[in-house]
Parts: sequence; C-alpha cells; structure tokens
Amino acid sequence: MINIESLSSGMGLGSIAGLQKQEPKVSGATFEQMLKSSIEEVNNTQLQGYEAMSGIATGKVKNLQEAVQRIEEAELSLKLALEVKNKAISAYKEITKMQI
Amino acid sequence: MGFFDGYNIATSGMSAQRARINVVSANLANAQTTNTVGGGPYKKQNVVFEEMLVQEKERSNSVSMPKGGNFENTTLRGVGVKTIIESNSKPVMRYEPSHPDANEKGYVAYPDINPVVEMTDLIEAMRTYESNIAAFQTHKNMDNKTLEILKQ
Repeated sequence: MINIESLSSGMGLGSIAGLQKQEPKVSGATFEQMLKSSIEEVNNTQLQGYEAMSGIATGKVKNLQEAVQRIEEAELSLKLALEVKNKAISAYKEITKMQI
Repeated sequence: MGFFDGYNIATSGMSAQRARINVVSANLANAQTTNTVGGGPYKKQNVVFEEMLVQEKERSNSVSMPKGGNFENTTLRGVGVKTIIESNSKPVMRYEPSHPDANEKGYVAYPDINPVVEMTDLIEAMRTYESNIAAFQTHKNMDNKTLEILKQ
C-alpha cells in the first residue's frame, strides 16, 4: 500500500516544518503517480467485481464463494479510496479557509 | 501478509468444504448403485485436503510488517483439495436372485455406504463451511470498522 513517508514528501509537507526548501526524493514515485496507480488498482478491483456479478447473473460462475469474495474486495477497496479522497478534500478545504 | 489474505484463506476453506459436500452428496446418491462404468458396485469416495500457499499475485498489496521481525517470510496457508480417494471396503452382498446385477449364486454387491455416517459427514462439512463464512465476515467487519476511523 501507500507509504506515508513518500506521501508527505510528495505533498511537500516536509518543507513546511523546517521552513527551508528540501530536495524532493527522486527515487520515490511522485504523489500523482501514486494516486494514479492506486486509482487504477481500485478500478481493476471494481471491474473484477462487476465481472463476478455478471457471472452470477448469467450462471457462468462455477464458484459462488470466490465471486462473492471478488465483490467484497471491490466494495472494500472502493470504500478505502472514497475515504482517502474525502480526507484529501477536507484537508484542502482546511487550507483554503486559512487566514492570511 | 496482504490486505486480502484473510479473505483468500476463508474462501479457500469454503471451496474445500463445498468439494467435500459434493463428494458426500455423490456417496448418498449412489448408496444403492450396483452398476458403474468401471464395473462392480459404486465405491465410497473421500476427499483428501492439503495446505495451499496463498497465491503470490493476489498478495501484491501487502501490508508492511514491523521491521526486524521475521514476518516477511511468514506465508499464510489456505486449504485445497489434494485428491479424491475411493475406499476399498468390501461390498455388501445381498441375496436378490431376480436382480439383473446378481451373480451366479443370486447375490448382488451393494456399496458399503452407511447413510447415517454420510449425513454426519454432511453436517460437519456444512458447519465448517459456516465457520469459514464467519471468519470472512469477521475480516469484513474489522475492515469496515477500521475505515470508520477515517470518517471522524
């Protein structure tokens, strides 16, 4: 999953504390790349979940419990992605509310 | 240990017990079968289980474990069906001279299947399946509760 250290460095949070510019870590992936890859992962899980659902509906599924597992995984990963998005947006709102 | 490993293991247990229920159903259905493709009466079948490593490709999103510990090498094992064996117990001979499968002395070979034993086996398999479902639901509830932390 996402490494918190690289997340904070990607958002530039490390430089706020020290009030001096720090070189961003070149080795780690950027925040944008991380966001993109995790969204892709969630999307893939969703697609698998939909496939399992249509498999149940059309009677193609031979293994009901594995289809149910795929759907549950899809639901949980989507929930996690939603909560992360909500957190990011609320952090952004907090910053826009800041008095200068 | 991955995020979804618990689900994989619980599902593997469900699959294994489902296979067992299928085999027990076949035993019950064929309790009176005197004629098979291979000749002779039906033979009682038994499922043999084996441990199965959780597939590596499904462990891509692994949760980081405490450093220094030896947890990185810890592999969780699910269960799988190794093979289905046929019991070699002797058939039960019954005197039925009018039966088409009777031998020259008038005895018919019936499979040595006790429906009561099969029923208890069926109940045991069903309960084990249910306990695997309980493990799955525990994982799900745990993850949902953890996600609720983010909502506050």
